[in-house]
Amino acid sequence: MANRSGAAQRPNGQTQGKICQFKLVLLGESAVGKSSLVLRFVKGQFHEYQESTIGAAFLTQTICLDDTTVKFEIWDTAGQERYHSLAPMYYRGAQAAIVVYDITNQDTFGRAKTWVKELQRQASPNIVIALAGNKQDLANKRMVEYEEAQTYADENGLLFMETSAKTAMNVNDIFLAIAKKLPKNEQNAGQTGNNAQGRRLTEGDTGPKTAGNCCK
Amino acid sequence: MDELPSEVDLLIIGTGFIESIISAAASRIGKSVLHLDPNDYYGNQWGSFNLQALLDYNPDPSEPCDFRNKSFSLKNFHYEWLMEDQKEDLLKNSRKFNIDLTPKLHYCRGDFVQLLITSNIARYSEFRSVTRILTWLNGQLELVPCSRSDVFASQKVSVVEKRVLMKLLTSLDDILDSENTHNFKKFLESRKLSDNLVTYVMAMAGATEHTSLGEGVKSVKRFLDSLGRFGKTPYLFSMYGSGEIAQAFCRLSAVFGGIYALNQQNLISLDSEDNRITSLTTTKQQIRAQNYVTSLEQCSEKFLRPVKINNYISRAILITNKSILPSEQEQLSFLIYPEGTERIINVFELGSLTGTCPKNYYLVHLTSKQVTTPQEDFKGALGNLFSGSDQPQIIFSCYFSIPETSDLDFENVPENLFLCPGPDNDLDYNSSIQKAREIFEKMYPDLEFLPRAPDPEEIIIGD
Repeated sequence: MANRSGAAQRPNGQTQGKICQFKLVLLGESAVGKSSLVLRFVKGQFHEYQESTIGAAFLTQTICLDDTTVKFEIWDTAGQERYHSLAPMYYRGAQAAIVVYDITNQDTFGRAKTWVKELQRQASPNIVIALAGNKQDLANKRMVEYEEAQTYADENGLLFMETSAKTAMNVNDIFLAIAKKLPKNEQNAGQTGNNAQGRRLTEGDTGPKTAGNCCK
Repeated sequence: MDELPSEVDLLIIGTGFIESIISAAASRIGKSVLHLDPNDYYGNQWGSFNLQALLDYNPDPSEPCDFRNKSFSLKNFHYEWLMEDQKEDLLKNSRKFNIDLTPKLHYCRGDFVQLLITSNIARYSEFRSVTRILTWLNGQLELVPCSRSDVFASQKVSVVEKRVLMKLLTSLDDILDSENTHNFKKFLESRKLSDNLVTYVMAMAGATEHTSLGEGVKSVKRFLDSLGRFGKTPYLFSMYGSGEIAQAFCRLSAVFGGIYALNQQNLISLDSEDNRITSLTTTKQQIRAQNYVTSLEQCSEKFLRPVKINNYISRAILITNKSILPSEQEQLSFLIYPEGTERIINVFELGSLTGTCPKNYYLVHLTSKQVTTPQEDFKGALGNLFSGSDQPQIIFSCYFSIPETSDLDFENVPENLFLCPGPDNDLDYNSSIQKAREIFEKMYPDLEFLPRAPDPEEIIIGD
């Protein structure tokens, strides 16, 4: 089970209880249940008639994995996928992605393949991609066979699970599987002191102390 | 593809910087926003492109229509490979480039950074500090000291000068009242500063010999006020290019319900009646809105009279093979290059850490007000910076002119149509954000402009 309190201390910068932070993006057609998966994972909630998540730039959730705390920063498409207008900035720095389709709708599986291609084109080459066949609770209306999706995932090196945001089936598991597959080296530990990442701006942040505040 | 909504509060055409801020601000206060762009990319003239996309960039689409206004498109667009043998390698790395048509810097304590933080945009954008500021003096590059310790460490500044400079800089507020001279440079010289120091202070102000005392002091103050917050210099650059910023505002808009549709080739006309826009007609439907916002570049000529563009911005984009001033660590340099007596060329040299070019290469942006053509305007500077045997070599260059539209006025514009100018020649976004705020306040007087967005932890979902 995901652990929300997992802010492990790192006295004196020791790596005891390392914290790794990752950006994870969701992709997939409208109405396949992207937001529902996130809500289930982050808040343990499900709403049958979930409106798009107004106001959420991203949501966060942490998972404890052996001695490592994995913190996901989960980005939803905010509807920008609907008219194929996702901005390149959406993919920037994403280390993981979940491409979601609806097992009761063959078209969404076809589109999921397109999203995988788009990720391979736009995102970092090392991105960990998981394919989620959502709405598993509606398996009696299934239009996409499990084996078909599994074969496609295997051929493309994707993690694959069928999930249900409604019953919570495999929801934590798919995030956990991603967390296990992500590289947890110093590069991703914490947010500071690493060269590849840029600076996030926060109120009152004075950045690294520079000698003297010139001329003031 | 799904039909677009047929009725919204605000319809925006164009995803340039100003349009994007307005979109975010309107969505943020609960207005329904439909944001369209005939282009298949974000940003218009504020956009950024990978290398291949820049080569394919077509500033003059063949068919002028109601939503492509040629008067406002880029002019003189031209590129050339100076080292053909590197072309293949660079094109292979095309996607590692994020090349801005309009690169900008942010003052660390400027209004814009404040807005990024309070609106919570800063939560999903990354920045790099400009690591050094350079200027050109007596035929060579000089580091502009940016902190007290820089000043005192500099061997080019004598002890007496240090004292004079510190005194001068700490008393800027009183200067304006007490001084008679109206010229910034003459004022500095009257304070018995050496040529070196005058040049440094002029660079901090981005001043020319014609800059007034008032303007100069104001600019130096902005420079000094922004020191010591993030990094060693007063400036930040957006990772992956400035074009990212417009996209970030579009995302904020979408997060608050704004609907996005790019690549809209099927727009036909904005229809007007009694000096008001009544609807947008597309090949498939009619869309009604209370207010309409468009970029000039994507606005029909029938609403834009008279069109008289007096000024252009000269731009050059270079890919080079090393830094203009190599050092152990990769630097993000801002060079203030005085050209003649009345022009400053702003030069940004970006390395791979900015996410705008591959390793072992540098992306160099030059920007200046246009005098003749971009090629001519930068000839002197490029000759000085890139021609010696130990200087970097230019592999690729691209030139173009951006029409300066920020001060244009049009007559008889429909009262619910708001026009967004293209980029200006300023170093930062301040004037543009001001413009966005003005338009927002005209449409929605008394409503708050981009109030703080909630943190992810604060969002309560469901009932």
